[in-house]
Amino acid sequence: MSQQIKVGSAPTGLTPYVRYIAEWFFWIALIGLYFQQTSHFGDEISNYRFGADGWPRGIALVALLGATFQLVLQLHSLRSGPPSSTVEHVEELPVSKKQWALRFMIFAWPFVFLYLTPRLGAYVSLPLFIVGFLLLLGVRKLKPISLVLLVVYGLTLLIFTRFFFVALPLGNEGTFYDINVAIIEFARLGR
Amino acid sequence: MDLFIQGTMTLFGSGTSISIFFLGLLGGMLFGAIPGVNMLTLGAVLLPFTVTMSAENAVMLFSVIYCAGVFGGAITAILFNIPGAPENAPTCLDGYPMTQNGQAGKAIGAAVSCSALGGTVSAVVMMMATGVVATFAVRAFGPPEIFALIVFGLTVSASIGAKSLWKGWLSIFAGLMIATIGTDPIGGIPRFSNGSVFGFDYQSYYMSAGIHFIPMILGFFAVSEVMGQAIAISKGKRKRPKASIEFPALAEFIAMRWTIVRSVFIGLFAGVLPGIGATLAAFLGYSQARQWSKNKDKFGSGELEGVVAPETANNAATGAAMIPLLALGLPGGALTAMIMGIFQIHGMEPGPLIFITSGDLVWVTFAAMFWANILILFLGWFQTKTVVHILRVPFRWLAPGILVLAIIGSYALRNLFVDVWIMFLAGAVGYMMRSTGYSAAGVVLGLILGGIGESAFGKSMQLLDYQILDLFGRPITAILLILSVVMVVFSIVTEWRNGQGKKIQMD
Repeated sequence: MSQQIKVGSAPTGLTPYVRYIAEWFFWIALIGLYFQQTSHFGDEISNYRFGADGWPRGIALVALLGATFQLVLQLHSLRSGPPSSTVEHVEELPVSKKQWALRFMIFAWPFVFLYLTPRLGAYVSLPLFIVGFLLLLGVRKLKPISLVLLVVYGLTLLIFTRFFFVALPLGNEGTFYDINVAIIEFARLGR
Repeated sequence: MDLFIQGTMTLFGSGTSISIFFLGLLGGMLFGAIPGVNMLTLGAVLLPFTVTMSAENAVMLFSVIYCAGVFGGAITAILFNIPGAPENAPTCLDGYPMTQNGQAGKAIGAAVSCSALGGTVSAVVMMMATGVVATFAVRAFGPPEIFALIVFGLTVSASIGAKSLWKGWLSIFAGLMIATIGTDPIGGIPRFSNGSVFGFDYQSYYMSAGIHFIPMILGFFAVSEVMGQAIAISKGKRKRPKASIEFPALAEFIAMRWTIVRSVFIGLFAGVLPGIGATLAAFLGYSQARQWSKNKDKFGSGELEGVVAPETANNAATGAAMIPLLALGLPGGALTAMIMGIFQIHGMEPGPLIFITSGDLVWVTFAAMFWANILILFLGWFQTKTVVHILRVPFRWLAPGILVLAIIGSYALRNLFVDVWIMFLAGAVGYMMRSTGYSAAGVVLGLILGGIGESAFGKSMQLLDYQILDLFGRPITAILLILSVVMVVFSIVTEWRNGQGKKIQMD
């Protein structure tokens, strides 16, 4: 992306040569796996000679060429001089274990939500998700947490449940299913 | 002109018509701006109610929603890096950096003005040349031409948002590969829905439905942005953008006149072709603006032309998309298909005879689209002065709301929870892509055009009896394909020379 972000020196600790080769291997592995999977739908189609796998295989081959050309040009550019980059490398202060844990949780929290929602139902898991994310972003005071929860959850219920009848998951655990249904009844019927 | 005035009089002749017009305008803008809940959602909700409306009001309502919806998505693209619809994705590339640079008002102002301008010109062209343009476009553009146009579009847009040409290409290939998941468009064979990886068998009926581009867009743009900002907050590095309400100066628009004119033509051209529409118009508009700009190096870091070009092009495509619908009865997209449904509900069949059998209705549609675009300018100006103040709310407070909207937007699309998984996975991948120089916009473009491209290629091959070289026997196809090849070769040579130039400097 052109909207570049600054990255620390840690991920770029590898030499550019190794990084370029690793990048190429990543693409080759991805394309290879993709190509191999096309064999599962390689049966002939009576009215189309190229079959369902023709187009995907064509793309895989062109992508393979693209990845290889990229490697060749990167190595060529490496021979010409140090790699030019719009990604700005800056020295960073050492990151504490707590900060690493926080960053990990910022990425992991949505997946915890995804795991819990089919069980608890969206009407129960959404407020938990909102509060959890606010805490991860460093919001600790009760007033802003309550305010954001009220506005976001309230508007969600009003717009998507009352007006547009978006059927969010209700959960498959008995008690939580009942709670979800009660929340929907409240949002739609006001009781 | 008399017919236009008559259409305008019908449009504003009764309180009911005026109310429906303004409700459509505000609803389109609002739904266009909410990620995931786009103008199609509004259209789908309102479609049953059109049975009880007069045919004029029903068609007018949907025409206005169409114009306003395409514009509305620019607001969230600029303020939060969340495109309201796929056609607003290229607007993020420079619109959002402008917000970060404290120029949100200028970006939104430019989007408003150029959307209105593009849409108005498009409406005028629609009034003047519906019959001629539609007949030419549909006769001249069969599946081979559409396939060639998509190849050309991908070629010229390859490096959008990427660090290098090859990273751009690989991003597009990734999008094309994702687009093949689901049912094959020619034979209806399910792909990637069952098989085995390293001895582990898998079977998923979800995959038969394919991966929809809306969760991918929300993931790549909205989720990855929220994650990026959250990490910046955890590092204590995030600065709140200044909420400026400065509108672009007239001189700035004059300086960008050729970009605007070029984007209008691109929008008209892409919009008139069934199935291509506003998304390719926006990407082509952006890539051509960068290609011809004196400040091409500044694209991606907050260049005003990078907002003006896609927003002009995508709105210019709206009026043009109505041309094949009205003149030939060919809807180019989902919303125009709904409009066709309204015609049929009211006992009319769009096509050449519509001008004779329901001329009044056609001119009400023309007038509605024209005035909707004019009013977008005024309402948009008001919106610029107000909506920018959202930036004063701390991002920590906004982030959960953005994510909840994205969650519901991706889920509500098909009522599949797997779409929410895909959105968050795309968010994580998008975050990594930003730091490695790959282009999220490229993946999205490949994903959107991949299905259309494959379908057009398949039909072309059946049409040409599988003789690929016969593609060059059709003039438009040949020109577009040769231009694509020239573009690729030129890009490779330029990149290679840049490497050589650097070597000489080092020596």
